[in-house]
Amino acid sequence: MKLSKLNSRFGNKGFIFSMDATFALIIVVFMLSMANIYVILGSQASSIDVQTNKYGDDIIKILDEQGTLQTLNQATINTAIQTLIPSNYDISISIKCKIYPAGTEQTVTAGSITPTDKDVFSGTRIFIIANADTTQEKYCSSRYWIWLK
Amino acid sequence: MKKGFAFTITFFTLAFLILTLSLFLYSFTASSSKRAVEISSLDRINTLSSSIETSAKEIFNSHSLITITSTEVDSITITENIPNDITSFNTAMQNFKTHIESSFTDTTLDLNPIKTTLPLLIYPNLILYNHDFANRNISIIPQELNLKGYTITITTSYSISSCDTVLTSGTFPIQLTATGSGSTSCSVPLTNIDATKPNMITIKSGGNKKTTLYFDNPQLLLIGNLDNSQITISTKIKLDQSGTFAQKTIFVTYPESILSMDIPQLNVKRRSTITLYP
Repeated sequence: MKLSKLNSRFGNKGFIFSMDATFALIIVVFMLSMANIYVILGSQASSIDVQTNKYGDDIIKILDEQGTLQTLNQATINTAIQTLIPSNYDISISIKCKIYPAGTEQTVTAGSITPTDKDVFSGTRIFIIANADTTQEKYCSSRYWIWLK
Repeated sequence: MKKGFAFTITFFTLAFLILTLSLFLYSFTASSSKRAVEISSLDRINTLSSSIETSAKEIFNSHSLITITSTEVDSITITENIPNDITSFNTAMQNFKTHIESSFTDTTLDLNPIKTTLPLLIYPNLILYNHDFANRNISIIPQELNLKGYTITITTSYSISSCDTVLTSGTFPIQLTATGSGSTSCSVPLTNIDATKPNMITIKSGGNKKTTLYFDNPQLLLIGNLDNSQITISTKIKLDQSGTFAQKTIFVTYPESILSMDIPQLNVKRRSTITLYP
């Protein structure tokens, strides 16, 4: 009885108002969602990538200048890595040394196993293990892979 | 009705603005990300290049039998034996070149400018320190009159009978101390010569000419060992550090860029020489 009285007084304005509000809400939610998606995509900071690479460069440079890489000893290199690397990063290092003209190759790996499900950054550094006898001199390439844990 | 229309227009304008701003932010970050990748790549190239340079310097220090030192801010001392055998240096550099070029196809190490005369360039005064290994000569060639003097110390394996001098007086200071076997020696105390004219000091053994030091314009010094007995020569070069050279650091490099990296993917071409001192 009351409902029919209200209907007769306001017609179907209430229904149209509700529909209008619903459509407006849908459009607002859609617009905000789109904006939010782009903001989130945009806020994935690339500076972190540069920083990760810099950490890798710095670590391999220190290991080289300390003479740790030149030991070609996995345990020694692992110990040095633990003291250098920030706790939220992990690193893997592969060293390949060659003697000329024999072409004899020596490979040493240190650090963690490189993950396949994370963004990994890499770089290379050259060093030599000098020897007065050039046939015993080692020419080495050390490659690192670094990632956020 | 008009109010509703105005409200809808305002709302759509605001929504469009928010969406546009978020797209701008996204596009800006995407381009920042691209720059970050480029920066990282350039960093990697720089790390590789500087480590190659460091290794080449280590080969020079280990195999060239040339020692570069500096005990004073305005002078540099280069010590080596004449004759000097650089076979070991050339072999080590060739091995290094093979290693680099086989590991990094974009990188080239050109040994041609250094393998015959092993030239060194002393900065900031641009003094060329060169060798003629076959004729057992060392030459120090300034580009202009920008030196403050030479102090030469020579140790020979032969006995020294005299140091004969033909010098023209001037304002350029030179000093020579020569020590030979059997406690023999001779010296030219601190003397000012005219460095724009020919001057000569000859170290003799029993009347025979053994080692010659020839000075000429502009402050050029040519040291020659006339026979095969090995002598050690230490040349302290005092640099003029006034005017344009004031407070500039002394360093020594190869005169030419021997390391080149050409990375077409990044449109990067890098040429560099090797810094040998400090």
